[in-house]
Amino acid sequence: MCSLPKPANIDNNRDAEGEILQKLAESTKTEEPVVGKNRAGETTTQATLQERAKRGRESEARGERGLIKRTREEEAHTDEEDEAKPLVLSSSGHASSPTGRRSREENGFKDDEGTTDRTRPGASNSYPSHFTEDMLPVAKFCGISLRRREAAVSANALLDYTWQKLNTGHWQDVPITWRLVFTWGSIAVVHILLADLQLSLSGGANTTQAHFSSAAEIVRACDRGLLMGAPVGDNPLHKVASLFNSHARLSATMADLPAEALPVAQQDKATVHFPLPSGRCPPLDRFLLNYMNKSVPVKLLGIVDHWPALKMWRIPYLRELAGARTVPVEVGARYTDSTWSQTLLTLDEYLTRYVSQPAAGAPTGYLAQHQLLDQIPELRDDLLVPDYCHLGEEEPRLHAWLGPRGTVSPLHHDPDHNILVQVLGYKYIRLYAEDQSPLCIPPRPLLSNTSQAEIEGPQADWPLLQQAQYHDLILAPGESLYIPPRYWHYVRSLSTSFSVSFWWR
Amino acid sequence: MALVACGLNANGQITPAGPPLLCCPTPVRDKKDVCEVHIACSHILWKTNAGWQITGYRNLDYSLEEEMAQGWKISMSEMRMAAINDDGAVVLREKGQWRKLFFQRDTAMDSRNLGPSVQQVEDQDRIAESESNVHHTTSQIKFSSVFVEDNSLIALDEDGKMYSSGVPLPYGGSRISVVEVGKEHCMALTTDGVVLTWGSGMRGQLGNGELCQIDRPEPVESLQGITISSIASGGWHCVALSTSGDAYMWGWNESGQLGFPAKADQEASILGTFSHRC
Repeated sequence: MCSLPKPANIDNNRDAEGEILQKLAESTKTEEPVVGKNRAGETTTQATLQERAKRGRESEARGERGLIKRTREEEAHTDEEDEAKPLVLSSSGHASSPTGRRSREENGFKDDEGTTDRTRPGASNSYPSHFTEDMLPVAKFCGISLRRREAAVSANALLDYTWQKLNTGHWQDVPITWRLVFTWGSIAVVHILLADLQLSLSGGANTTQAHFSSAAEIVRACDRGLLMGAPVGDNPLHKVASLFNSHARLSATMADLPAEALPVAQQDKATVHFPLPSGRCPPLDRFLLNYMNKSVPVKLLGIVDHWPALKMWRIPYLRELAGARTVPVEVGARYTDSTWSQTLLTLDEYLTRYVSQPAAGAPTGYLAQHQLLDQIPELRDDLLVPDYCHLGEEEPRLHAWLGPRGTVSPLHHDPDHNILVQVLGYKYIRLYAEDQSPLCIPPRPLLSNTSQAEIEGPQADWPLLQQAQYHDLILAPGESLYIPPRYWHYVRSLSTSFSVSFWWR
Repeated sequence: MALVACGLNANGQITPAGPPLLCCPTPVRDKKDVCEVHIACSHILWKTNAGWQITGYRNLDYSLEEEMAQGWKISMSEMRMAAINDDGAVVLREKGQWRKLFFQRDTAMDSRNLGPSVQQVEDQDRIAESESNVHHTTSQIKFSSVFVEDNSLIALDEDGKMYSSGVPLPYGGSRISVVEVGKEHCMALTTDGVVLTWGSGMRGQLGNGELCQIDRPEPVESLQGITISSIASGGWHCVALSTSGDAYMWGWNESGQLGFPAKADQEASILGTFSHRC
């Protein structure tokens, strides 16, 4: 009969991360580095390692306490037949699809709030959630057990079971409780993977390459939990993923691309016919009265001059920080095409295959409308939310837009105010006012906020559109654009481009 | 004849005291004369010559097997169990009891969504009871099989007609021989070997080349002219086997369930964490 080897008792794993990182650093130094790799992680000093490990332990501890507390409550509930047990959570639990583009139409642009945002003071709405009857079997998967092997099976079974629930029906209809279960299950799985890695490092049996693969598996499990789970404060998955990113990257073979270190120039051409007026750091009250209240777009200059991101955000930096992280990529020329699809890739894969070295004739890949800054909070440290974004009633939401030249966002409008900041590269943008709508929309649109018009396509195909009045502009690094709600906009990148958008209402 | 099983055993559903994961086919020795098995995520239903038995997670329902007779035709999903009892009626296990479901022959009411809510079933109970009081005769529909998922139930009568939510499904074609239910769609096979699909098509599981939802069973056009002998349905994908031995698959492939390479292949599986001796 086939059986699993007898497991060792699980120890207190508070020191796991520190030990693991030390051992990984040691093994990286003694073995020959694989040809063609980046040198990420090898120059870290002992002090930095210990500091990182300490932070990792603290966040693990917080996450564990949450998980253990949750499980005890669930076990108490399995003996009762009540269905509705309200839980009060300190997160605002709007549901949206992981890559919200399609949901523009569906849910009027509700988005998850960020998680570890230090610039937002206490932005939390209490959110009641309920146990339903179909969650009871899940409690049986949740037993925290001293036998680590059994805990690993149970945790993965929990994730599989919950994953089915998350995939049934529309994403925005999935109860937040199932997404919370997925978060906790992911934390449990990551915890177990860390313990396994620690054991493996002490045993010395496995190769360095195997350890790097384990680190990559840990980062993947963290990202899966972050992508499909619910937004929770102090999520340990962030910390663990960023701690192990550099080692995880070493598990994949990647050639260095020296061209990525060069500054990004505008490669594609675009002619500006009706330039949009610009303003340099308008006072807040002027901005509110003249632009926001009057629905007038404006190009803003000088509002992000102080951002470290302007100097730091280059492709090699992004790879070092987050190369092994999983990101959702939109593949296809534009999201109105029938061949458009979404896929998950590591950032390293995406940058190589779709940004720096795209194959001739391959479809465009765009890392669009993704809350990259929530997934990788270190990137948040490189920027400051412009003051103008706080002139609304709700906290602004941030999205990152990273892609090669030639990405196109078809003509569409959004319900919120938007400041689009260009950090790296160049974009051509065309704007039509709301009153031009009859000339922009075809008779039977598929999505009510998107036009199928090809803005830069043959004029004869879209005769009505040629009568519409518009403004256009090219955004260069450090420049920003304010787009009022429901203002039509069309965006094409003229080079490798990284922009950040701030939506608020 | 030997009985072997493998897979998740975290609830002790395969072997009560065994490890949580059986990664290789393992003989099941503690059950004799097993003639039928139904599997869900956390429990298994066995039929032996001595009667029915459930192993694994029970959700506090302990008297279930005693009330089941040998001749019942069962369909089971993770959260629900339905059966055709000895009288040919459809019964559903709910709140610790087997409840009889009522159906009517004509579509006096519009067929609603395909999953009956408890409220809908109760409403129909009341209507059926009041009607039978008035007419004193209700021609009992005799059912041959029933098919359930957590949110859907399809019953098949002896004439090969499908019912859901208490009324016949809007399909006036050939007799149906078998029905398969996925998480968000349904499949049926007629006695002529034609495959029908209906429900949500968001992952291509309807096999009609579109991603929309259809409310009534439609034949899968691409299989026109091919006689299908059996069908099976997963959560979001379908398989049809033709009489000439060809298998046709469609639907979601994110884990490689259609047999094509998938992204998930590259992710380390849980078994990578374990070593085992077989």
